[in-house]
Amino acid sequence: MREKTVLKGRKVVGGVVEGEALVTHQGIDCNGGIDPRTGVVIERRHELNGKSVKDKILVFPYGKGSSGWARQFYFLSKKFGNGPKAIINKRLMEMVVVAAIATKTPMVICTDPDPTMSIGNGDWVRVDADKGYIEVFRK
Amino acid sequence: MFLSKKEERMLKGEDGPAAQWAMSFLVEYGEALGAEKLIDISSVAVGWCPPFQEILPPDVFSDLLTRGFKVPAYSLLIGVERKHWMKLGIPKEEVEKQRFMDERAKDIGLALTSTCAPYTVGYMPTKGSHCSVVEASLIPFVNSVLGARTLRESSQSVIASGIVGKSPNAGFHLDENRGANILVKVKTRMLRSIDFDLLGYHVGELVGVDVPAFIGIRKATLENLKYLCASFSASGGIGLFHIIGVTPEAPTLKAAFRGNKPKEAIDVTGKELEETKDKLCTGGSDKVDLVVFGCPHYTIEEVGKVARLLRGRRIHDNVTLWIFTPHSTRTIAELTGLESLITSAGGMLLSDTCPWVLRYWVEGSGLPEKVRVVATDSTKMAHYLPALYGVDVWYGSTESCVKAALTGVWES
Repeated sequence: MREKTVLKGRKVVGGVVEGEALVTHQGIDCNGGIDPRTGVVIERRHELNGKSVKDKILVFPYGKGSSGWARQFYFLSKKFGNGPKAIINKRLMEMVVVAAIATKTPMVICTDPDPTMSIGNGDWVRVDADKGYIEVFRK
Repeated sequence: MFLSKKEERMLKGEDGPAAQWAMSFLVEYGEALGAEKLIDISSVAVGWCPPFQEILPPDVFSDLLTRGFKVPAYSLLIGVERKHWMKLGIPKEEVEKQRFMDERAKDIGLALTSTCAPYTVGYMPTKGSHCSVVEASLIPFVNSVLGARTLRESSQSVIASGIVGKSPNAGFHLDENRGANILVKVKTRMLRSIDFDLLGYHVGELVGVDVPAFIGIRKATLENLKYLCASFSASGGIGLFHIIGVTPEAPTLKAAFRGNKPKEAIDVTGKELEETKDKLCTGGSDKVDLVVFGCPHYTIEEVGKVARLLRGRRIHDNVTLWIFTPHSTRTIAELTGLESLITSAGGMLLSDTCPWVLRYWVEGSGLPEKVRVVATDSTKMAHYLPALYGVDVWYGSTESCVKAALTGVWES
């Protein structure tokens, strides 16, 4: 049995999903930072550069960059099927909220502890967004 | 969330599918943001171009075309160049699609400003007024320079806001969220737009979504602030900032912080700005193929500056030079004789679009195929172009870029 920790957060968009975590300490830009046709992070100098967000539990501190964020996330997720399974953020950014609502992607805000520190790349994460409950199984 | 009787009726669909969709979206959005109610807004700035229809249910889009926006609406930049589309290789059907959208504008209460910087051509929400605005560089401009109030909106949410004339009463609409929480001490002289551009890019990376207050900037032009707003919303997610003694909600440090304690203080010197400049240049060949100006869209002053630098000269045979403006600025430039200075030198004055939206909104267009190396005076362009097109980028002052256009070579 893998070591399990639990984080409590706040629901933004409900739903229950589980999957492998992809974690970054840097903000994510969905319009110009991720190629919707492949799901791969293309932003130069980004620590996730070259990695795909597809079907991941995507953990990042906040959304940044273009306000085409939500529109492009919609294309990423709904048109090309390359979206993440869920979003966990530390800070609330309106554009990410709209992205999650428009695609019905479960999303939780967790301010303390910092989810980008408490969750590691490759950890198995179960998100119950309705309850704001995140279970993390260490890799 | 509390809804008035009228809002309840809209939610039930009594005012048609567009209002119903908008209200249901705003309720979900508002609840996610922790809003207790909706507030009335006085205007919206919206994207109005073809791929946009894909994100709205068809019955909502057609109902919007019939009933129009509830409040005055202004449009942002588009994915085609209405005049020079053929020269840019933009497919005709894309231009037709945009024409369909354009022809609806007069019936739905939309002004076709067609720019990322509509404040340079007449969109000026006033201090304390509520609005809903999308476009990353426009959002901090409206919140901070004009002192109007908007959330960091998205394509979908501004349309919803425009349909019913309402926004969730949360975020930057509320006094308590408008105070600074980070102090930025600027310890270098801020004279030119490039200084503001680099400052913004550097601070955006450090600050993320917080609200910085800058001290040490004594004055700033419209153009300076335009660059500042664009750069830190490319590297970060700043939606509101204050400059003590310059922006309207920051006559003093105390006023800017609204009772918040700074959680961090950042010093910025010329060294950080130099490093930022180096970081934005990808290296590679010094032979420049394309020079891009106008991110955000150039003002008439900026067009004039480049036009005068090009007067009586000829850009290098291997270089393409593009300057992007709103069409109304191009009209002024044409009338003033500035456009002919640019075209005589071999450059192009283009309107209403930019290399970035060309790529994402119109399949198969974007930069000319032969382009491998781009020079630009915009950190935002320098930030995005290498990732989008795989090109190398040189970033520098407007003068350096003009020089590269004339000689075909970037001088580091």
